[in-house]
Amino acid sequence: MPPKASPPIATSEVRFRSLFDNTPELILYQNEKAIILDANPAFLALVAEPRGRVVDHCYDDFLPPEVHALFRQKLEEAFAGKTVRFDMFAAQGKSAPRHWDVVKIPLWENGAVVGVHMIARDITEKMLAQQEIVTQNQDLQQFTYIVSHNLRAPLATALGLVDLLGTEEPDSPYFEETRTHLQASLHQLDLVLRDMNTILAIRDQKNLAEAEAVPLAEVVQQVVQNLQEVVAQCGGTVRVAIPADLSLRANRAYLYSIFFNLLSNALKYRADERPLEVSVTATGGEGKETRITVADNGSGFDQQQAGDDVFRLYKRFHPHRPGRGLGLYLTKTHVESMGGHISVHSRVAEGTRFIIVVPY
Amino acid sequence: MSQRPAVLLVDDDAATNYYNQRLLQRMQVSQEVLVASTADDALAILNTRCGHPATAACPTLILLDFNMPLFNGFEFLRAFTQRHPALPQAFVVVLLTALPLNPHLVEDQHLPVTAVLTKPLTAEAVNQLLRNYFGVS
Repeated sequence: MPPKASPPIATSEVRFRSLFDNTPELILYQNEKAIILDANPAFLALVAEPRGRVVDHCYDDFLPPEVHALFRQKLEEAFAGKTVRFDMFAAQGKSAPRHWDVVKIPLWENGAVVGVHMIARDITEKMLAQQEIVTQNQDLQQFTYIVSHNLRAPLATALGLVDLLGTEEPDSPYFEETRTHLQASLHQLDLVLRDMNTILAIRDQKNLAEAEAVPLAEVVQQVVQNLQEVVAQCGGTVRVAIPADLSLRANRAYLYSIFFNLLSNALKYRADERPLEVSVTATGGEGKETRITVADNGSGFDQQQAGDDVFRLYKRFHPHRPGRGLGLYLTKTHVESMGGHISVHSRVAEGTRFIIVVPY
Repeated sequence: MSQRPAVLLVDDDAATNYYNQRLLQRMQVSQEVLVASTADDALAILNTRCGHPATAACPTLILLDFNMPLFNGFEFLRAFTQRHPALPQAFVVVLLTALPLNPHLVEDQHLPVTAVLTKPLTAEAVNQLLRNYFGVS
């Protein structure tokens, strides 16, 4: 039996036309003067222009001025016969700025380059993921640095004190005092290790499985209730304005901890000159991001000096008030475990405002 | 300078201050060991006592904790050098750190740090400081 004839391969023209029309990558064909001679539908869709307003126009018209020189240079290199590849971050036409992996490929005819194809792939997601990993690595490195210093400090003192103890007269006041300080150092060491355990437990991804739809107003009311006595004692008021139906997919205990920490801080760092006023507001729901604001009229801090350090582990800003520099670090970790972000605005003697944004 | 200097200890941790103070006391390094638990307190001590650094009241040996809340060791020294641009040369400033610091980290600050020591402070290290910088043998 003769072999069955295989179906004919589509002509090159049909194949390449299909690729050109349907690929999500941007494809342009340009002449030496950077005029666009052909553009695929992906490009037209990105710049949101009809074909007639793209073809026969200069590519520069669709690029921000700061990348014009780069594109000219790369186009020249391609016309010199080289396939060139580069990354850029830029808007094209009316689109938002994106990261692009750009390849320019010369088209040869009779030994000369007659035009250049450009293929641009959107690598924004990849770049963002990469940047996040870099940030996370930096965070981890800083975390390790801070933790090792904060573990070694009480340990070093304990090592010194235990040597000293060996040289003091037993039952002397010096012996007793040295022993007391030794004990304090060991407790400090223990505290740091316990902090690590708390932090690692929050970061443990398994806890995300416990996320449930938690009514925000209910949790905040619970925190306010538990702090009511302290608030009343200092003559303060807490105003809560949160829609009753607003809930957040979160671990309830973490959510409680966030508000407990922020309100405790507002109480701790209140201004002596005026009664404390704290407002807790939130908006969101129905497919929108949740935006929570906790604002007080307390003593505030110098944001210029502190920067983002307020959220840093064991970083403290009020030497004369008790605190270990753990609260805001934990708050940030809790917020981030919900996929959210926390920021702060503060002015000395005016107050502090924390803003938490959790994407839908 | 073969006089035993007055010493200023700057650390936010009470146990560390006690240990350093007791060590120096036992070694009879100085007539006077001053203790400050915050950078502000330390600056205040220097302000009141060091109008003339050459006098005995001024602590010319400063043992400074690197890792303090609010003001770390560098920030303290920056505030000190800003307030008294001419003074720091008259002092021996020893940075005490929990773990060895990268030497570049210290050099890059261009601050008057004479030496960096890893905690805990030892009698041997103190003797070396006295030998090297105060001519005490």
